[in-house]
Amino acid sequence: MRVMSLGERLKEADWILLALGVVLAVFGVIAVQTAAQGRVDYGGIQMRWLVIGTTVCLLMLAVPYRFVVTWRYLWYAGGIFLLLLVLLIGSGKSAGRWIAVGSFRMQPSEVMKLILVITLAGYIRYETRHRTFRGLFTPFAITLIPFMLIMKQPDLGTALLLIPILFVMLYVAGANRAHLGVVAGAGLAAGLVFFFVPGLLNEYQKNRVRAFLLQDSDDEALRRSHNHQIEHSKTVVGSSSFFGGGTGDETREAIRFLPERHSDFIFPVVIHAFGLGGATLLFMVYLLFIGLLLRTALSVREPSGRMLAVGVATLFACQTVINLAMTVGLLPIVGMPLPFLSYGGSSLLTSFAALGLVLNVGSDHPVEFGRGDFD
Amino acid sequence: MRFRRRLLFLYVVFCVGIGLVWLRSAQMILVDGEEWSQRALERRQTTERLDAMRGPIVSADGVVLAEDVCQFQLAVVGWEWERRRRSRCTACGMVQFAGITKKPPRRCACPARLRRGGDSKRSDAYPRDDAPVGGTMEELPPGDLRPLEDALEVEPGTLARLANARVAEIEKIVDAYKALLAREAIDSEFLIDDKVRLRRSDLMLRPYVLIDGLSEEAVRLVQTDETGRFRGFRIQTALRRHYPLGDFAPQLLGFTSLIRSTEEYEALFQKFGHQITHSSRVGRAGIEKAHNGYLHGKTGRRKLQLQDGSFSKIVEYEPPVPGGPLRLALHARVTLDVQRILDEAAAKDHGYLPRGRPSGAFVALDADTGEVLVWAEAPRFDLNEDLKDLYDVKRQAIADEKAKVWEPRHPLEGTMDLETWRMQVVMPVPLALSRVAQVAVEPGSTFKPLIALGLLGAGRPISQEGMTCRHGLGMPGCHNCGTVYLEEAIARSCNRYFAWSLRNPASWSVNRRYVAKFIADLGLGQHPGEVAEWSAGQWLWNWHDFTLETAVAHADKVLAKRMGETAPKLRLGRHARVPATVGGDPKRLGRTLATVAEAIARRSGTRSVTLYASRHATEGRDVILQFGMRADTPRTWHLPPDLRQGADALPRAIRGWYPRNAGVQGRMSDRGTVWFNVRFERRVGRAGPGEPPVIRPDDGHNVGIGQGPVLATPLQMARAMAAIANGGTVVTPHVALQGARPLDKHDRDRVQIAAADLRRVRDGMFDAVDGGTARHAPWYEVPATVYGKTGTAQVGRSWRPWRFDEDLDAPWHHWFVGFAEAPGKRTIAFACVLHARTEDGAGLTAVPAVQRILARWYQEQD
Repeated sequence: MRVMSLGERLKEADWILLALGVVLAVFGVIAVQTAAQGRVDYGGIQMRWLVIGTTVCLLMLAVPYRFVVTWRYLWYAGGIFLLLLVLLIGSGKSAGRWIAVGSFRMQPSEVMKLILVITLAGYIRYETRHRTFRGLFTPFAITLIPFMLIMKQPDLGTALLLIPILFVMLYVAGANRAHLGVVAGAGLAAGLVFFFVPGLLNEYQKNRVRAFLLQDSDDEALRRSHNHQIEHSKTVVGSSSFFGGGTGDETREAIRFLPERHSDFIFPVVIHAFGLGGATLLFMVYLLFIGLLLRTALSVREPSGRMLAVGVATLFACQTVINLAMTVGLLPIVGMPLPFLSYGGSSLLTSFAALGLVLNVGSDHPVEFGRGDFD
Repeated sequence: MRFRRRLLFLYVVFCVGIGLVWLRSAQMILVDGEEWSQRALERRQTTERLDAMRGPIVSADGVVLAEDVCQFQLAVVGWEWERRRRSRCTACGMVQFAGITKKPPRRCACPARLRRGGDSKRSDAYPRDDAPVGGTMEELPPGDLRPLEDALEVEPGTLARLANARVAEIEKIVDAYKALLAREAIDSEFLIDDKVRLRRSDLMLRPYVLIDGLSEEAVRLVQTDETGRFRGFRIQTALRRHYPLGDFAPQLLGFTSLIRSTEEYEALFQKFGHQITHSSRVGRAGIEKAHNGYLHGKTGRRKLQLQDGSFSKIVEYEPPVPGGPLRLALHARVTLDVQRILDEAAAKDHGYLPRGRPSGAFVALDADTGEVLVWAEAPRFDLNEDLKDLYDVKRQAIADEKAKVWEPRHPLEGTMDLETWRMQVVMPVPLALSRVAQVAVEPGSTFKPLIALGLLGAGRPISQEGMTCRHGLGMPGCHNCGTVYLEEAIARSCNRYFAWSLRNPASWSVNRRYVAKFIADLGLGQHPGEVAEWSAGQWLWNWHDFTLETAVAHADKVLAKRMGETAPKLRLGRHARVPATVGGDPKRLGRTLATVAEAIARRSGTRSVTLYASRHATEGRDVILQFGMRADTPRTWHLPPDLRQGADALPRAIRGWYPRNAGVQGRMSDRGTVWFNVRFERRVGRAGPGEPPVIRPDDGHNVGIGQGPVLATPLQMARAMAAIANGGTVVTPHVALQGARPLDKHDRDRVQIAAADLRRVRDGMFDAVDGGTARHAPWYEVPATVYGKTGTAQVGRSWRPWRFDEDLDAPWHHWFVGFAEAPGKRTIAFACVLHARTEDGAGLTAVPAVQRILARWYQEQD
């Protein structure tokens, strides 16, 4: 196996993809600073994370991704360990999602998403068992262990995100659609059981689903209680203009009562500040970004690299669509940041690390080949 | 190719997702944008309610009795108080403040600031024009609060202690709030942090009143503080209820206090709707309560919009409408003099609660309209003085364990503990009870004219014949008058005449029904009408409830402690086992019951005392309350003398303060067991629809002379006198000439009295003044014809042959009731009672006092 030098990798790297990631992150810094309303210097902190994230991205580019994939079970075990640690010593009020070491805090569930992609990519690359129904057991087991641990935190949004990653990677790797359909149906039924059997889901999680279903209710009290967040979010989005109100006082006053405006609900801030036009531009950047990720997957022949690119693209795509859809009332609210834009060091670092992996995949041209296709 | 197709499919799905979001956003902005913009605008606006000035209460002669005045208050702002470290620039003299942990800046930004023309936001002092640039900052010593404390006349260190306590309160509230959010499983740390931060900043920025009624010096000190010495303290203004005459008829006027959050959300919200704010003041007693809706005024409204980060832009303004002035029929100047006369007349009192305070009452009505012209009581309390420590009580309530419950909207108001407030703000509680309208005692011989009219109306034997009385009833005070006629019997107050006339075996069965009904029709045993409302009973709903069994269990313990093995067993009778709860303090009631049982046991030697109570829950509650917890109740209350003495000896005795109509009957069985029978009966008055009032056979003599089960308030007696004066119309006493309730709703019941009968009774009352028991006063000074009747309710030891304890005695009540007529002037009916007398008779105490009062009244009229 020939290992490419760092210089060759830098030369071969898809700089447009990296540039798009940085553009999104810079966009995010501006939005976060606007959302912070001068109380806390969220923008400055996010800027620092952006610099660190870019560095991490370049570091990921330096390490051959195949080494990363080879050691996948080590990462996986580490991720599971961190998730278990969160359950024991996790901080963060009711939802203990963080591990604090001094002033530094990390969110293992964010890292676990990327680890799962790496683990699945490594598992699937030369396998064909997943094309049988029984063969689905192992990848599902790999996914459901972190899924359960993250659910336990509880972090429903991040946990649910693991499922589409698994399905998409299996689907792309050639799994039988009928098999996946059966499993999806079973999962849906299990979800209903979770919802209706008392004690399996937290009440606030159920309330969010109820709030989503009743968001257009005329009941003012209901809207103000359960639909508090979505009502504010929709109000901010709906009261925006085409060109936006800028990042000045108007936007600050408009978003004053929007909860989570600097993290999960950053999109209403963006659309109010930059208008529908700005949001359209943002969507196009995201479309281009995901498209380039998928093009990377197409451009390489090495299976684990392909699956890595597909998994990362799925991760970003799902997060983006779910986050955007929930802020405009198309999906129930779950705790999910918008990639590169939302405030949060763990999220931004993971995003840049994932991006670095894909850049690595795109810049690395190994000699050996897998099967020509996942046919 | 399949891989490529699958990726393409995924990409298309992603594009569709993004497209849907774009379409939804576009729809919300371009199609429904107007509606959402409107909602956004509403969210950026807030509405403030503005309290209206409460209307004044004015007497008939134009004296302001209660009014709202603006006063200065000293408030603390927690945020500023925390950041009171200060330093001054040696160059420009500007003072800057630092946070708790932050160090003050070392150098002043004089050049930059001067270029900008000064930075007034960060300083209370402007830089001098000729100031040099780039000065260093020197930290000033901690602000000395002594000058302000001296101006406020408080102990050194008080202000700092109060301010620190305020900040500590806020931290507790915020902690409780944080815990609450965590319990509700808010799944986002940022959401919790945001909410907690907002809550804290909201509380820290809100001025909190520490002291009100500031002197000018204190206001000047704070307002002219340029060096930040008193940073954290602010002067603000507020409306306060002021009673210019101080202790003028406080029981009648009542008082106000801030609304409680529970009231705001529950009862009063329903009653007044949008007119209530969290700073509204509500009438708690007397006229202030009865006419609260009229006096309160209409709350104003101000809609504010978010501007520069704060709600500072006024977009709508609706000014508050002050409450209407309430004009009373009461004559203030005369009443002031009457109060003084009453104080002098009652000065010989002793033993009545509060111990050593003169106690008495006088009320005068317009006999034709029922207007209350004079209302005087002793003792009184100053409404301004006794209520001004409201905020201290608030803080104490907050410190109380019960008050630590977090209240979502009004953490400070909501922690107001009602019991604490009641006990301390309205202290002394007994003073708040109205002797005119709420304290019912035996009317004694003043009841005789009413008995006479009742018997005459029934056609009973005293119509023409005289009665020969040689030995009276064998009671002290009996006059041995020989042959007496009705008029003379009234004038001399012959006990035997009335006792035996009523209890005559030949006609007793008819008499007791007719007379009882007649007297009830005259207004005794009934609520006198819409005079004012008193709040005692109203507080009950928020008291702690307990069952009678709890109180009895405690009483047993107390008895065992006091009497040891000789302690009687206190039991609840069948009817006392009410399932419902009663209000109050179970230990207090237990002590009371124990004392009563002890008195009974010591007298009779019984080992068993049984408590009976009504089956009706509320009645049972009211009965119990009479043992130490007063209540405004429409029931008669009677305790036979022996048992009453026991009640009088209670540590918290409420002797004579029995709201009329409550009934407690005690009797001894033949076997020596004392039955303490608590039962509700309308002894005199209407018992209910279709149920005729009765006088029990063994009460016949007593009722005939206004003793025994008969209890009346001065207001009731004045009302009855008004009926005699105007020929049989029972007027409804009312104080307000205008206000909340229209006067035409006041019923004027007619009582059928034959003119001849009326004349005889009036003649008797005239004779009482003109040479009878009420002759000991210079009536020639009163330019009117006065009809009156004295009464000395002797409830002491010399009365009762079955008394057990010679040492126990009960003071008497001296009454004088009647009416006065003068040509061209309104006829006034009056009633005067002096409580707790131990010597003389009403003719020597109450009569001269009333004579002076009437002389003063007619002097004022002239």
